[in-house]
Amino acid sequence: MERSSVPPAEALRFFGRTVAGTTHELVNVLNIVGELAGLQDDLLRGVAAGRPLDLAKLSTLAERTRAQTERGHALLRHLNRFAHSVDHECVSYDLGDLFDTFAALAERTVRLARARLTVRPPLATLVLLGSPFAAHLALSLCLDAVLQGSPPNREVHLSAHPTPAGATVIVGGSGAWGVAWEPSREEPLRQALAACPGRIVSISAADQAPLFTVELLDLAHLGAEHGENRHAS
Amino acid sequence: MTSPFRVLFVDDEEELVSAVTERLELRGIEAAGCLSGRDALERLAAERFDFVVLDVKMPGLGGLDVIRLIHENYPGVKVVLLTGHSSVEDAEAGLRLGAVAYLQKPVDLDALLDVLRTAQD
Repeated sequence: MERSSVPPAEALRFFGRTVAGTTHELVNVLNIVGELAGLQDDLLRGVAAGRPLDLAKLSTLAERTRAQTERGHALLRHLNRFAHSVDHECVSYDLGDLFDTFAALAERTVRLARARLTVRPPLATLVLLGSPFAAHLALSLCLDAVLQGSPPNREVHLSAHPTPAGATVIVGGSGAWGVAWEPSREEPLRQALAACPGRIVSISAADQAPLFTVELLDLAHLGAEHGENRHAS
Repeated sequence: MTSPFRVLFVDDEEELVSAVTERLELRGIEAAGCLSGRDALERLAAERFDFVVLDVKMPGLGGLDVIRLIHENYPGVKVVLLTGHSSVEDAEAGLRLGAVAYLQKPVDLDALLDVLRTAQD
């Protein structure tokens, strides 16, 4: 099957946007850790000034700080995986792992759109041979389109199931939506899917929430002769 | 201790809102928190606050829209903006819309209190 690469300008724009959004989240994490440390300082100053020591409060502060450091570690782990996704144009990747990383790195975009992303990963391990970076870009283009007209507090869902040639992935919302899908926006998605490789199965929109059904193809099943690599991490 | 003023702190990061409002309370400042501009406007409709401390970049209504609405509907309420390093231009636009000051994140609580005390006079 014919494959192409994601156009370099598009790849760089997407890479930059993803890194910028994720580092913004990491700054938030650091700001919160700083405030929690400040709160601990304030409590200890109060004790020095004669207030009773609130051990339960101190313990809660430790838990709250730990939760933020875990959030930061998770963001960094996913950002690292995403960064390595450009190492090889053809590599074996686990679609469930890709969904995890996609959801973690899309968290800010989804929050700013006041939506919720529900991910239903494949029920069993589903490993594809192809480009995880292009697959991430394709999912992101679908998500952006769904979020564009999303009314507040709507749920957007992402799911996948295996097919003989790879996996079908569905990205969509539900109910009435504010913006109709413009067919002119299909081209970047087609380009990203061509690099996966993959294809658009269907896009349904009208005045309802857009629903994207795409197929990510497994080059191993297609019998392509590509050198397989492993993810670095 | 009587609070010298009441502060509404608005940011979409819930844990940041909790930590800052708890710190203000420990310093004798009455403080409440909201996670969006829309929630802040609803809170202002129900309670009196002297200051709104507001993140410029939030989901839904952005900080600049919220300043406009606060000035239209609650002219006595003073707004202090919080910005990330990439949104200083928005903060300067906020000053032109009537915000009394802006501070860059991370929030320096002492600097914030200085700004509030100065603006109160």
